[in-house]
Amino acid sequence: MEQFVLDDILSHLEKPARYLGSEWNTVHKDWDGASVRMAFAFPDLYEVGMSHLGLQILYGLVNTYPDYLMERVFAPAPDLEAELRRRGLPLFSLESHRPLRDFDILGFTLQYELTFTNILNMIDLAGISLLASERSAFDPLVIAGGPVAANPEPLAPFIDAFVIGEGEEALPEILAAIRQIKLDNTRWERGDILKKLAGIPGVYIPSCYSVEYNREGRVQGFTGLCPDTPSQVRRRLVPDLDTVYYPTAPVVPLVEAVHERGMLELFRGCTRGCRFCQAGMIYRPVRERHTGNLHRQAGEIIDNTGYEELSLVSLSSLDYSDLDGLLQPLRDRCARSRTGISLPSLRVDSFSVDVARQLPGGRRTSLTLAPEAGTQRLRDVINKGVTEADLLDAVAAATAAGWSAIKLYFMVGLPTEEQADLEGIGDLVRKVRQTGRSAARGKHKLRISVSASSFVPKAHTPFQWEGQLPRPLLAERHAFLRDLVRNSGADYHWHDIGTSFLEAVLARGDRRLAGVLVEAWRRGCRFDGWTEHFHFDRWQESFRAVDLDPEFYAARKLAYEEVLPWNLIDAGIDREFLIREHRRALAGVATPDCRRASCEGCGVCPALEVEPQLVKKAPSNLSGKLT
Amino acid sequence: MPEYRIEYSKKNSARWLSHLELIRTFIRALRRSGLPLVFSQGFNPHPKLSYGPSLGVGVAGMREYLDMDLVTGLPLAECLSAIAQQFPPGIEIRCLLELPPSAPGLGKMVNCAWYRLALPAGQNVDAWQQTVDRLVGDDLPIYYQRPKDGKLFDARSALAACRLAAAEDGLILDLLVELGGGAVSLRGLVETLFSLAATAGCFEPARVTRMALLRHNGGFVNPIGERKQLWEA
Ligand code: SF4
Repeated sequence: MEQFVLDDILSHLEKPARYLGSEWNTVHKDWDGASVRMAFAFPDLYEVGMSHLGLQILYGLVNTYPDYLMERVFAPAPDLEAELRRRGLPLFSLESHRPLRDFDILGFTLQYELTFTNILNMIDLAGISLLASERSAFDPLVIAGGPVAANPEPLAPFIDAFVIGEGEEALPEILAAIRQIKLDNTRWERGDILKKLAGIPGVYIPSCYSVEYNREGRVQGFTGLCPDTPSQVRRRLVPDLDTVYYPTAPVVPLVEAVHERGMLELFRGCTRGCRFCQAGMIYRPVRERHTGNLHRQAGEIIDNTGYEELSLVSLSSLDYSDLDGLLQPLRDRCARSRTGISLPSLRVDSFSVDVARQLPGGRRTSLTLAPEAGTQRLRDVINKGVTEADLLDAVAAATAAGWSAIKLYFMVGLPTEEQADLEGIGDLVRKVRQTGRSAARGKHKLRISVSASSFVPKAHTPFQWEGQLPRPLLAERHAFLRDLVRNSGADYHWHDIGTSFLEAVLARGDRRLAGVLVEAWRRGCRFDGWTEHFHFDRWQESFRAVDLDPEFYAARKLAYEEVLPWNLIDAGIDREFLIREHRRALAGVATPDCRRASCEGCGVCPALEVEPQLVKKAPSNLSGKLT
Repeated sequence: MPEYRIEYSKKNSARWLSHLELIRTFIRALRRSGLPLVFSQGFNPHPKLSYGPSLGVGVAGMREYLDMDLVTGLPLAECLSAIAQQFPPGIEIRCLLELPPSAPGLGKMVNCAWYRLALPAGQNVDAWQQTVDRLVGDDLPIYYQRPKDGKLFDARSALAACRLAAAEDGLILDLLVELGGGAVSLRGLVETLFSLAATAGCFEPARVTRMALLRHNGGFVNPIGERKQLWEA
């Protein structure tokens, strides 16, 4: 359908360049020469998906195999969906503009719960049955992976197989299995194919389990339906990042993406241990790349893309243990090609600000810092090792260095939060302003803005048993905080409460929510993470239609003894560790980072048979503010 | 610092790039090429490039231009081979020349553009011929109402010449459009012509190709100094 797409459809679209598939560094493989063909599906707009490292990694990796082919597809914008439906055409891949049905595998990446309706929509537009149970052996295999697969249950009926954890090793194993099945002449039943995949570590086949619920509607247990289904599926991870594929010739977007920059991944995993943070749990332990390797990758990325900026993407990049060894040569390399270096997030201390200041192109207009909570008490509860002094030092350093705008991130509705904690945010903002004023010495005015999100309890974190505050209460707290912040002379923005509520429902949801997803999709819900597309009323109708109470999922505090809907997924973290962390949170006791102190016994290293990998073992010269 | 002019074409799938998308594509391609570009001062330095008049999304361009400054002069062949392989499909570098020191910039130099419209199938040839005859024959204004504010303009003020011709696969309409007036867009002009010809059809960017950018000054000259006749490719 290539010619048709190019001639007939593009002229009706607002941004046709999203669908050309002719970006720099794309791979156009010979279709007939490939033994396994997979479409990588990103269930959000091109602009979002093209900024995503995981896509570039798997796209590049799979296409390095001579007989595997991978192409991309993104969630169609509403204008393309309308064109496709009006003409009865299927959704197509970007590189060869072929219908998704022609591929062996359609693989979704799960980055955010509010893309779930897009996944349903893309499966439907591909002409594939929504329900895995209704697909035949001739349909593409629909798989999914990514951080949100940490609790895949709400998507269970739609997905044939989930990949739990990092995909660099597991995905080629899946492709190899499919190649073998295709080479084999016997006619495989779909069930047999799935059973074969179930033998691959990290692959979770939801149809191999049934879920039982008790009278209160809680999950009571799981029953394996196939002979050798494991009782839990353990997360996969790459033990050594220096030996694994990394994309140094990533696809350069044609349409301006959310982030237009090369990505250098210094390490995976963060063990600072913020208790609300899922990423901080499910990517453990810390695994750093060697500086030499990073320098080589940086040079290749710059040469191969022509990007103006290189971003050091990791969960807390300045925790890298050999920062001096990394940055000096990197600065020189980037100065030669006029490439800026940026950090996606900054640790809250003056050391980080100083490092950022010395990066080429690093002094941008706005600096973002995330203290997350307004009082030391609450910051101890969430284990965010930041003090007021850290914050004010950082602000002073930033203002003196010429930054004129500071963005502060906070979370509202954290466990144990009281009015005093919100007032604490107001106090902090005032102090930030004073500090900024004296550090600027009248040279410029510091603009301060506060961004507040609502706490969402996530699976596999110490706060997984906590509930989200009911929406009216959240709205009240945001309103209270808004007035405080505005009175302290800063702007206030908050994340839509309905969106955060739905995120909480889905993040701790079970399989029954699949029915809600179908109802919401039928009612036209798409791009729910985009405020302009979010229709809370349609979601409420959808919950009513299947007779499920969303509050049950979002607001309820769970008991330690309960069977959790995501119990089939083993992230490698010890349940006892999470309970201990939860108790310490309630007692306001901080837990140090195992990167600097000793092992805290989260259980990941023994369970997954790995060890933290630091390129420089000695205590670093970082300020190491965690106590 | 030596200044160079690149002549390129933007066609096939690349026609769907917007002007901004095209600019970013150029910047990255030139950065990849390793040429000694001249950068602006400041925290976020930009290469010094200047572009010709923008092309709409979907409109192809056969001979488009871009000027760039380099820190040091390089042999043209070396420059050309450095950049030629750096572009996504649909963008082709046609030629490169070093500009004399006092050469006017593209914006100053170019004052008209030749657009070619491939008319949709099944058009009424007589109606179009009459329209063209009227356009070249008399001076009566042809009104165009600008949608955004309802103001009336004479569509002919934007049109320097026009002809109807038969091509292999249908009728083509050639329009020589004055640049710089800005009052009547290409879309507005084409839609006015369609309503004048009283035939069904609308502005379809994919049917439009910009054949040339020219300076009209008695005769015609293009940005790389070639003298041209009217409608000479
Ligand atoms: S097991 Fe110990 S060393 Fe390994 S990630 Fe957990 S706390 Fe850190």
